[in-house]
Amino acid sequence: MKIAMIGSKALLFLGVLLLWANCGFGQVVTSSMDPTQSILMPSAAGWREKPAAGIGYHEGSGTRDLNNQEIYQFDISGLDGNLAFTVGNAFIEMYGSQSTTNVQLDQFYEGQFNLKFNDARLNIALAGNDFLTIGLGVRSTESTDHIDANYDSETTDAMRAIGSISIKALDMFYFGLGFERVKEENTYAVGLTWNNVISGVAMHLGQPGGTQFKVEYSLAYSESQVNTLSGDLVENNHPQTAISRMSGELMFSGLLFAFKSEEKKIDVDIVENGQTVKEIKMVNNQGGVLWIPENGLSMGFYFLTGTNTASYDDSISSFKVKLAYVF
Amino acid sequence: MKKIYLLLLVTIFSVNVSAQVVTPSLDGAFPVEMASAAGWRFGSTLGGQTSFGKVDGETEKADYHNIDSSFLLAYQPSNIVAEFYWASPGTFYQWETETDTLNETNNGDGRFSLTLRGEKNVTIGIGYRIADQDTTSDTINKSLYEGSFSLRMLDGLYLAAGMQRVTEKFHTGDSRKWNRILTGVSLQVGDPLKNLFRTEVSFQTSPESSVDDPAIKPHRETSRIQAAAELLWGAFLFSYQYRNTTLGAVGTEIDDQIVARHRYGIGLKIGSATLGFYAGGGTRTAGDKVLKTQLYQGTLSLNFI
Repeated sequence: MKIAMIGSKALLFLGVLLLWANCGFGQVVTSSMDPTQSILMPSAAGWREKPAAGIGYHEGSGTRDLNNQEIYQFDISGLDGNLAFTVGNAFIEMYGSQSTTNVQLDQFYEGQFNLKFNDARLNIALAGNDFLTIGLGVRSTESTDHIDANYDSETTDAMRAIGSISIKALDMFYFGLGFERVKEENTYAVGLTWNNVISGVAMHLGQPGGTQFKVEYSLAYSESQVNTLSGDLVENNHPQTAISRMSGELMFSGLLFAFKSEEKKIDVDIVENGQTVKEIKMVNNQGGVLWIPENGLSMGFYFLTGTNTASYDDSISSFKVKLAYVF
Repeated sequence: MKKIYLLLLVTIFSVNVSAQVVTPSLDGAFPVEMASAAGWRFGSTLGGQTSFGKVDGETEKADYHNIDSSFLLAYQPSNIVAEFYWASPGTFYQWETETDTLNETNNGDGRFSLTLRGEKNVTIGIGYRIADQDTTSDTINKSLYEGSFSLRMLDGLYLAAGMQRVTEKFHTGDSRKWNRILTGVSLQVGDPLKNLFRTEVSFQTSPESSVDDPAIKPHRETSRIQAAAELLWGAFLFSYQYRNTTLGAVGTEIDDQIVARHRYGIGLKIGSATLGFYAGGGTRTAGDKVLKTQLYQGTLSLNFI
């Protein structure tokens, strides 16, 4: 995430598809009861109940409005896969996703537009005595964005190293804390490194095989970071960013009802499409139902909605199907 | 012309299909409306149907015509059910209430649903559906994604809910989207090889949805209640279905449209084959204007329980 200065024009570079494609969803403190749902903080892998392999496919559409006029229509589609297994008391999770956006740009308006987003994650957690998990993870993302007529398909790579810890208390409460170091590179701006701090709390009632209820709330925060221009490369600026995530899951009779919400606020001070923008806000919600057996084939679906608000307003909705095998 | 063809699009997906929401019809030739219902099929099914109807308006009439013919295959190798349904482009008459005229359209319908049944008390289904509507002036491509689930309780009581995400793309490049929410309850008792009684009540609703082009009328706010009862009694199948749909007024229209339909049927079971014959009638009303419809339908299905 950054604000890149190209010439005298301030351009936002926000990885919007991260939200459209549901790549931003993920459990932070504990793993989801959905075996196909990825984790964001590696120590959460240590609370995964069963090994599983799952894939998902999503398809959707959206519009971008500027001054109450629709300026873009677009379609999105993508694939993701998640594999979770254990070796001794080590919990290992691998996740990969790809999402693409097809948009007709007859006329370009200011405001970044994501065209493609790839995400790969590897997380390893060690668990001890059903009390503590500690995890290490790496995450690699590649984002291709349309910025303007001159920079119509720019690629940004980011590598994240994550360390986290979580503890269980009173048999039902979980607390987690993590630190993420992000290193970002691209073809037209200087490289940039910044830190994210992630923390969260969760409550899990019930036992595997019976009725279960789980809620989780987490917050991620990063300060702004600037790296000045160098040579032919322009300045890079990561704005102050706060992400709050909330999830609720209810499982009974093998049916899992899952709801997740994510809100991202980015502090900026830019002029875009003739408007002064102080904050960019992105809100994503997803709700779904899945059949999760004790072991065997699992299937389910999610409906997703999202909004992005800057000088423009994006409205996105998509449908995701999930298929998994629980071992 | 453009204005005319965009009046009653909500009916594209449900012109004459007697699809059930919670549990499948005992006549295997009919598809399910929600994918989760396919999980309660008794074995695999191969079926087909054809239907004819006529429309009587106060100023215009359409004599007997083929509404559509369809083919269905539901394959159930284990606790997974895959259902394919395809209906040939048939003829349907849309009603322009302000001028009381009928506009002929040709509608095709294709569906695929995949359902997983868990521990004989839960089903979860995903579905995809496409439909094209050809008129004299344009073509509308319609697609639908669906997710649904159902629960079985007390051996014979079924509850189901689901959501369908509908997208309509117009020749002009415009598109509109909306969500349809479906829910229902069904009671089914008996033995599918002997005597079986099944009844179902379902409700579905979708909001008004429009596009920027003012020449294209919005998708009407729609609500539908549907009730069905079927009795398999030895070699005979008796069927009744009632459907009432309210289509909200749009633009300069004043009155909502009320579409009500009854359908009666009798079937004969010979071995694994079921022959069905159905007759129905209904009315569409908008204020003091009335349109009457009649329907005759024949089915043949092979059930491998």
